[in-house]
Amino acid sequence: MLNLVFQKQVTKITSIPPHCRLNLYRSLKSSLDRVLGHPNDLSAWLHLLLLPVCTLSLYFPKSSTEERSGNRKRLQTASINDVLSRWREPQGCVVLVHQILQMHKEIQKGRKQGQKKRKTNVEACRKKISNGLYTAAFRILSYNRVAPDNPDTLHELQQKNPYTPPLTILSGNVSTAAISVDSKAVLDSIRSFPKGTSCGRDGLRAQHLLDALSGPAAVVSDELLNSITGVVNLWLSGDCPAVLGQYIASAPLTPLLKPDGGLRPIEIGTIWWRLCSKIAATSVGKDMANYLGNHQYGVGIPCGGESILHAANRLMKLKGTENNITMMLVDFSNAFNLVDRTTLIREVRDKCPHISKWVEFCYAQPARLYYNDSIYRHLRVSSKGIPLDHFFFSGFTFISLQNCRKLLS
Amino acid sequence: MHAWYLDDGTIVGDTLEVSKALKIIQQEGGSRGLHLNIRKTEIYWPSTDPRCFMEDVFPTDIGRPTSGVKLLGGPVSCDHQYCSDLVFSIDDKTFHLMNSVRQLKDPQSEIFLLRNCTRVSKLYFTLRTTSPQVLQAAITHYDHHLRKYLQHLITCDGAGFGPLQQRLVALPMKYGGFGIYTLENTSQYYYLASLTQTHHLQTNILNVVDLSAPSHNYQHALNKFMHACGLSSFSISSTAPHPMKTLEAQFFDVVKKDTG
Repeated sequence: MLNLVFQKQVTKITSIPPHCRLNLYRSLKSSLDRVLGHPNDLSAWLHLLLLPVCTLSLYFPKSSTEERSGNRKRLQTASINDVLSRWREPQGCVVLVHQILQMHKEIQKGRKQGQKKRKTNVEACRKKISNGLYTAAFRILSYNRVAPDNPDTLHELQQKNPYTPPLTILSGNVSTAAISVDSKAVLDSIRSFPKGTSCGRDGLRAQHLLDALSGPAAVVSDELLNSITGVVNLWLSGDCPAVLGQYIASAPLTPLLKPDGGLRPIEIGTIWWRLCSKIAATSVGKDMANYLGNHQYGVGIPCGGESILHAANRLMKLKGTENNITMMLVDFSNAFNLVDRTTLIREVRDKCPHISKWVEFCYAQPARLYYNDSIYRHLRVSSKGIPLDHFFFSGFTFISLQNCRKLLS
Repeated sequence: MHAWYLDDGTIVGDTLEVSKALKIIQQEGGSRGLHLNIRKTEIYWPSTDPRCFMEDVFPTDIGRPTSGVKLLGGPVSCDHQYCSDLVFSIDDKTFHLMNSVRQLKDPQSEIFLLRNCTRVSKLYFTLRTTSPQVLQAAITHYDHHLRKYLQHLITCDGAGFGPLQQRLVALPMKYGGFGIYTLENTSQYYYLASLTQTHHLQTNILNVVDLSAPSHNYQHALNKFMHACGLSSFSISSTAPHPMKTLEAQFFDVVKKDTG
């Protein structure tokens, strides 16, 4: 069921109107608490994941009077409040899911007509400026276009993210206790998402969480934060039913064109996934930077890249005339997507056991990647901007490096 | 030298050792899902080792650029021309970006974007990592374009945008400028700041005990900075928290006095 819902593309609002915040706060809190009360109950988790998809849809104006901005805002607020109150009825969730699945077809037709003219980069940029997202605006201008939607694009995406069968779970259990975090760390992580960051197919944005924590609910926001923290800790300790892993780790793909004609797939994970990974990565950051020591400069070291460049240039100045030296620049093809996950999980268990439960939860099953209406699954590691992957990857190359060093010396 | 930045590896050493390292990566990598892209893997050194061309040392289809390589987006080469060309190509990309900004046709937001976002551009990374000696031509080229663009923005290509106005515009906001810096100004301290910041990391990477003797480039950058600020002696410790900010403040203080 979750799959069907995620396959639909429902446009979500980017931020919660002030009058809805208290309602959202209540629903979110009760969903979270339900999960906390029954961590083994699949339906409680489903409720939590379905909440944003079902309730935060963008209101589509039905007539020209409704399109005026004041009216639209009012109607949007009303519709969300209405849906949220229906959500709280018993069986409300089931009813709303059916409604979403039904309604979507009509909306899509409407959208297709409306969007006949594809938005140009310039228009998109203007919108970003008016929302106060200057860096995003600048980036949009420099981006290449999104690849057209056709079978070739899909094929190339599949090539880049090849399917690998589910992992045979390594035997043996991890004995180390999983990390648990406090509410302050969670709040900091939620705040540290870039402004206006996008959402995965579940439709929940970081802004939604922040909105729910502010507004009239601000007085009691600590309680919601505690609930969020509780659920995050459940995830980190691997207490979420394993079947949900592929959905939490799911992501829509946006294929951008590279200047040389290739494709650069951009994946955006769900907020829950990004939040937990972020926390996990922060918790192991220092240890990993120490462990990686003197050879990996991409993790936990400010100015690492610059230093490599400076060092290389300096060495060349010093020894450029000696003719028994060679410099080699190593390039791996599609490294982040092709890295072997069994080795990776083994390393994580070995080197940072206290986050291994979360890692296995996410990566043991092929994640679902969505491109328009098609889905395919693959085991993936990478996603831009997710620090966790970088840790793994660098840890990974490090194993080969150690071998290198032994042989060299 | 043996340093990695995520999946980008740089290995410098005796040719045969490097060749051995390559073979190890090829052998060990496959089973871990790391497949070497041999055509994009490059070997280079200013004075090429004849042993590179021997059989069995490097695969035949490995990249063998002759004048320099691009490492992490910056040039590594002894060839001034190569570095300069690379920077010019980055220049061009930035102009392309400026032209896109121009399409907005809204001077207010255009200036806003320029001020807030030019640092996103790769040009600034290059500025931090490449010696200003080789950058000179590219800097002049860029600044010329920037001035013309600003003139277009402010006076619609009209008169009244003389040298004084140009200097005023390039001042930080604090001093009543637009906060859109010219490269000529920033190049005075960017490279120096970066060198200072990364001093101890360089020592780590090069794995030498004593690097206390400052490099030639560092000395040059320092002298230039002292000259620009009219200082006779100046020292900055590598442990200072924000060398960039310190240098920037110092530099613009002097510029402000000059502009008077």
